[in-house]
Amino acid sequence: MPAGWWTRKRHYFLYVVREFTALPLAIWLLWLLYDITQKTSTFGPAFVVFSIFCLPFALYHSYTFLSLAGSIIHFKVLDRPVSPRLIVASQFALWIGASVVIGFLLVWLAR
Amino acid sequence: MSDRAELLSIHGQVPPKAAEAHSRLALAHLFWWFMFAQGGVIAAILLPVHILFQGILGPLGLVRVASLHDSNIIGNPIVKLYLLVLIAVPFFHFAHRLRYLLVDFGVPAARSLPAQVVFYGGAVLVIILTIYVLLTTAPISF
Repeated sequence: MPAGWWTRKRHYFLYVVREFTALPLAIWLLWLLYDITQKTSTFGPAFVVFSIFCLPFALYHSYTFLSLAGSIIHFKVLDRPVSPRLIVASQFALWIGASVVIGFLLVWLAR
Repeated sequence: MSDRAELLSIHGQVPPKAAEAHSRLALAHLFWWFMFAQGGVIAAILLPVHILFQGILGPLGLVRVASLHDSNIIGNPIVKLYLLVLIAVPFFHFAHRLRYLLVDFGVPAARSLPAQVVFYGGAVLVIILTIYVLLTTAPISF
């Protein structure tokens, strides 16, 4: 394959972005782990800038991964197949629900 | 090849030994595939809200966010267990994606067994490291 194949088509580019999301997210989690080992917080301006860089990748991973559920999960309720759109919607609802609960806990535990 | 194995393969059947190896391989595949999927789910559902609150809103001072340096929080066994899942499990997903990204970028060596050992071994290493960090930072307290 020629170098730069992934810049030729939008579809290829988005595929590479999707796979690449793993790298910033891995570094973000390792920073979180590193922070736990330190006496005081390492979450300064550099971490804010890096997090602002990571957030779109995290959201893109969530969007692409949860959308996949519609093609992967197939099951029937009362002998009728559940529509892929309903399955994807339930995944997104789970994501939003979990985010609200975790966001609430992160703030509530800071009291 | 023994007579029996030869006969079986002539008849289009898999000799018992090969079948056993094949099912072991399938089980290994199932395990890594399961970890890949779980890592993807954990990262998809949990990561954005953590990045938003702990990485952006908290450090900017817009919201007071739970500190990882508060022994009441980091000492809680449920928090430790949660952090283990949040930090370590996605690495099985990341390892798989980055290995295949290398393959797609023209690094066929990323398909090799040593590359698999490096990438998935790395994910196992992150699990061990995370357990070590969580067990040594703050004593477990309720």
